[in-house]
Amino acid sequence: MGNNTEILLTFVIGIAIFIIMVVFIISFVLIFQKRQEKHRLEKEALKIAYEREILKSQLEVQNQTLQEIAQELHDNIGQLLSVAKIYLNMLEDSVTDENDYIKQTNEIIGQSINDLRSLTKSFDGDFVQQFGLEESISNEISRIRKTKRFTIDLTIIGEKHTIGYEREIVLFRVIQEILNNTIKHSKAKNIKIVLSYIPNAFTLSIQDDGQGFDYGAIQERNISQSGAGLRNIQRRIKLIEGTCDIISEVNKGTKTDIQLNL
Amino acid sequence: MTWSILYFTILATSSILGIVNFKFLNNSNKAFLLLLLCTIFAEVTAYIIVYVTQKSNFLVYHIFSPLQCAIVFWAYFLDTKKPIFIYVIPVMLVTGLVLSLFIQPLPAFNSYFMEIELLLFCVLALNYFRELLKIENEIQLKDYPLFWINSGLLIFAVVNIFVLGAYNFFIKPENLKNPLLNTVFFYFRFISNCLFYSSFSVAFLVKQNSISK
Repeated sequence: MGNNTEILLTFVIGIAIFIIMVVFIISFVLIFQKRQEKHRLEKEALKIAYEREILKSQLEVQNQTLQEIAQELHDNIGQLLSVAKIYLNMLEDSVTDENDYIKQTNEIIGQSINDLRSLTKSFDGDFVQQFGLEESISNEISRIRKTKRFTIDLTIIGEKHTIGYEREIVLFRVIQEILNNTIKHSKAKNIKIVLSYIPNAFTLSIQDDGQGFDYGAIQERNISQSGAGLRNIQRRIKLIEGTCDIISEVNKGTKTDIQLNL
Repeated sequence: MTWSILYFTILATSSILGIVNFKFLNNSNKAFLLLLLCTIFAEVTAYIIVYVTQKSNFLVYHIFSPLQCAIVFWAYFLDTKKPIFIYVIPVMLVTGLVLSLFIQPLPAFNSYFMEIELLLFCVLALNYFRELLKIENEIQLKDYPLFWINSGLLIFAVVNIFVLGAYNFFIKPENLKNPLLNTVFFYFRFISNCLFYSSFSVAFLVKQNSISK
């Protein structure tokens, strides 16, 4: 091998070593970042799964508590009211009541029994399982209508198909929460509920013509201030793998759109 | 002369950055700062010996190389907390002493020790890369100061193994005094040294994370 060839070869090998080293380090950086990203995603997935479990447990506890309350109302208070009504009926027949006090009391108790039944259904998660989401929402609407403060419409579009009991009960609780918020804060006169059964999806829309609110400002509030209810709604819908969009503007009412993919 | 100025500027810059940030450096980087200061001292001494006394400066490297090896292993121990790195130190010091006294005594250059040292540096650097891949946190790679030094060390070690290996074993004896070949070797070593000691500057400036935390 000539002198220059040996030197050239040394030079080329040296340069190749430099290049290999640089490529090695760059590859290492890329592999490290890929692994770190994978680890981050795994951690995030674990966190989501953990949050889901917590929320699921919370919902189970809430359902159980509400069910116990419903049972207690139905079996105890309901029975007592029914007995009281029977006595009043008997009294109504045997006593002369010029001012109709007994009759009026009897009617009030009758009304209370009806309201109590309605409330029991509202509390009882099994009602949703037994009669379905639509019936449960109708029952809720009847309760609200009795206040005579709101005009409330329920529209059902499409052919009904089941979205699963677990999802239905979560959805029902969310609807209750939204309606409760509307009644308490919106000062609305009209409420529209639209259920749409579309192929492979289910959408729910609740719209009111109330005073609305600044959604962005509420989202930015810290945990000690209010806004927990809205966050809860979002979390619950996420739990059942749905999306929830709340659109609200001051003096322009509020619209909540929920979509579940089946 | 110009290249020496550039080399010493890099050493000085890294040292100044290390001294200025000394309070914030992690223990491993404090050890690397010590290595940097020892390197400056050794290089200046070697330079003076050659250019002032016109004698061989190999004695400096017979002393400096084992010391360099010891400090590097100590610094890696401080970052990784692996006790094996501490056990290597006395072994390498004894090996350096034996080689310098019996196998390659002065006036010979201690190339055998350097080859062993550089091979160990390669293993050390590759092992550190492997350890980095085991980490499961969200700290960015750039915020591990030893990553920078480790990359510099790997390039330094591989290039110097090539240079020393080629010089000792592959180049024909008649070519060894060829000025062109010596220039090629000089630039390879110069660039790898500059990269290695520049990596100290970066390591002294980034967040001071270590893999053992």
